[in-house]
Amino acid sequence: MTTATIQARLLLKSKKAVISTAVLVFFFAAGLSAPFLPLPDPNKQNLNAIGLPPFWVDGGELAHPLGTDSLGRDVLSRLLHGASVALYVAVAATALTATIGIVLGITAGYFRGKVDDLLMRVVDIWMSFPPIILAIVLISVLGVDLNNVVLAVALVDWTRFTRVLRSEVLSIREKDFVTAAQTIGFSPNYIMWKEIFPNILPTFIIITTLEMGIAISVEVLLSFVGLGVRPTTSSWGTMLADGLNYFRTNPYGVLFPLSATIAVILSLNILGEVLREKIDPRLMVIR
Amino acid sequence: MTKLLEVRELNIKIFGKPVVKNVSFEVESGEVFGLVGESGAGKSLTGKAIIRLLPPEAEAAGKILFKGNDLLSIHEKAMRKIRGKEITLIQQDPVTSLNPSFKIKDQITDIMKLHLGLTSKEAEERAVELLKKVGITSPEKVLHKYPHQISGGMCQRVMIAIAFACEPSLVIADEPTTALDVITQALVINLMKQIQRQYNTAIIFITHNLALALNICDRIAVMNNGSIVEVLDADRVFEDARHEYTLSLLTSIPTIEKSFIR
Amino acid sequence: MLQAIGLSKVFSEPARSLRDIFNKEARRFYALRDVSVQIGEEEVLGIVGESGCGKSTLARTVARIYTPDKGRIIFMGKDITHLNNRELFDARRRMQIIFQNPYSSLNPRRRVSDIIGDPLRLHGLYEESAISEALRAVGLDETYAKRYPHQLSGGERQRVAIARALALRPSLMIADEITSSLDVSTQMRILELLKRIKNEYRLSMMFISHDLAVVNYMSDRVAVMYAGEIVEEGPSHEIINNPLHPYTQALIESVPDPRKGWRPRVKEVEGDHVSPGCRFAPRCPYAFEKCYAMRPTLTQYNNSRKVACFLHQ
Repeated sequence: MTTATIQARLLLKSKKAVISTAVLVFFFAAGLSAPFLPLPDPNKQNLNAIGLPPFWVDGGELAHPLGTDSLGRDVLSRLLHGASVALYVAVAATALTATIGIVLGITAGYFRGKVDDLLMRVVDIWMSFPPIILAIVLISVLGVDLNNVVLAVALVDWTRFTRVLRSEVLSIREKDFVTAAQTIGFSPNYIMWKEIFPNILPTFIIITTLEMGIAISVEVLLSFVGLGVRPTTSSWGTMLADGLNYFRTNPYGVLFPLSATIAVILSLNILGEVLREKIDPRLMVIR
Repeated sequence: MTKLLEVRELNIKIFGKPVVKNVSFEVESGEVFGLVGESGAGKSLTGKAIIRLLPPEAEAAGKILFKGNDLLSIHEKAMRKIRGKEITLIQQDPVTSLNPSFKIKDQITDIMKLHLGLTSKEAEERAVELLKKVGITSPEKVLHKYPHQISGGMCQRVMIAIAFACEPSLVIADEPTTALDVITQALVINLMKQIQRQYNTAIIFITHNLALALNICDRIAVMNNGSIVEVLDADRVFEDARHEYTLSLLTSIPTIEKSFIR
Repeated sequence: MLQAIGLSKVFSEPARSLRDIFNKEARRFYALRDVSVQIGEEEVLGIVGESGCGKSTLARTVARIYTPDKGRIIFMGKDITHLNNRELFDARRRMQIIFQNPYSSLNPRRRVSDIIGDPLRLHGLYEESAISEALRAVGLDETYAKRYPHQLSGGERQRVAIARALALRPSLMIADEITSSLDVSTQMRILELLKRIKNEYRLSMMFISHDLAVVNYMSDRVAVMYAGEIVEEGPSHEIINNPLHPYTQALIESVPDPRKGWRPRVKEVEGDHVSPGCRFAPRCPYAFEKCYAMRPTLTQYNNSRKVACFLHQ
């Protein structure tokens, strides 16, 4: 049995892992399939059906299973389209952040010395800006657009990736197998990617999971204050902003996007936590 | 000599896997008893079971009779009165067994204040005496240092002083010299012998180094794979050893003249 | 085969106190001080000393993992002291180092076949049969090729590390404390293997250990190191039977022999031993005035031996 299959089995034994993975798979599938499902247009306004509650509540209609918002748009449709926005940001922003973080982290950790010193001072300065304010400033400069949200997340969060991976590389670099590879004559490139990278993979997977949660919450937050997606795109953040205005008359407008956001972010964090418990990246030992 | 400790059919399982199997032996007061074996033989766990400091995933069954009390079944509160006073432990790595945030003085006087009810002043006086006994020539100076400011050999001397501080009847020494250089090892072993004789303390000496065990112990138990394969008088090992495993250990000892005893 | 002349290596320790920050000299630590060694064709030179005496630094400097601050390294007639990685490529293959801890010297994420195979591919020595051949040479069968390091015991790992080095057909093998993390019975088998390989492949070897008995078993000549310097050097049987330097004597007295009494005579010092004189003087039972004032140099004692001690000069 390989290490990977043992780890997979251990994960299956953990209820937390199974439930959070199921939630994530559900939203992932929903986000991917939303454009193809027979749903009403998420932007189609129907002023005759404003602020409808879900169908199981008095006054609800089966045509709008989760009700409508203040402009009469279908909540279910908007929720699922919002999932695809969240998904896009999570994947794109994390991929970008991870790429920057891995390249810089491994380079700094491997070469140490001046490269490392310089990079770490930049990271220190960068991290001294409050992240939310930094994101808001970036969006104000870049303009309101979904891709700019992705960019903002990456520009704020590359420091975390870089720093965590660098310290991991520093400790692995001290191992004799790295020295052995050097004495055999391998190039720094080979050593960084073939010898060191596989050893930081567990840590990498864990922080990637956590990063996705952060990316989604940043998107929701920016959209909530109107700096995330364009008004024509449906996002959980814009839904929350809209729902909050009519919270007294129709609490469901807040309930659905809020639960979706919480469910996804909580699942990502729990999954990251379980991964951290099950794989000890430092010892490469399965607990 | 009187019987001080009797281990009867000790079994230890870790995650349900047996790692110590049916281990029985007796230690008399004032005796140096060796537990010798290679890594994974279960010797350290046996030692930890006696002072009841097994890791939480380990389950111990059997009887460990110390002065007539079964250490495996008495209450933790009662055990705490025995630990550090009646039975003490010297561990392999002296540098990490001392707390880096406290001065030597605090670490050595604390145990005496706790178990002997001494005042700070009395404890400090006694600490100076103890450090002299373990061969530290300027104890007042060493008392005011932190562990990282003194050498590994010095740390182990301090650990020995702490272990003997309350004049225990049993000291469990778990690979006490493995982390030390050969010369320091020789000095520390001589020191332990000397103090042991003076206080007539029993020692359970746990080591992988058979040559070392034969030098310090009265009797040795050779352990392999969680079981004791034979118990021998240290003086008569070469004549009495019968078990194949003991013989294979004996032939692997590197010595100066012939490099290996063959 | 190998000649190292006057190697020095200084490390700077990080500052531990405010005073340290401004006092650079106090933070300097001489890991090697003017060390010269020579290894002939098919000769085994043993290096012995306690931890921190600089023996591992010597190995790593000779293998050019470190660059010496002073001195020269001549390997197979070529000065490799200041070559860069590209220029060292060929020398690196011919000089292989085996490390102390086989749990750290093999990449836990790679299979044995890659651990042995990749270096061969790099140096263009790869053949289909090379891996099983290398494994067989160290007493492992080819089923080991598919395994990961965590599926091996300590002794098996060390065999794989030896196989990796051996497969590159080196001329000089540096063994740095390769048995100190192994059990005694495994230690003996690894030493026997190494001796056999040395004869079979006609290797030169630098064998480093803290255990004088083990070094004596392996080596033709022995160099005893103390505090970054070589204090005594000569044929191993002569050194064992008639040690000249008090430190060597103490080392020999300290090896426990199960059949004899055991009475080491050295002292231990408290505090650091920085003095202008002999580094061993504060622990030496024979030290006299001159020992504290001047540092003895390694000088010829007779035509095969050298010693750095005023008792013999």
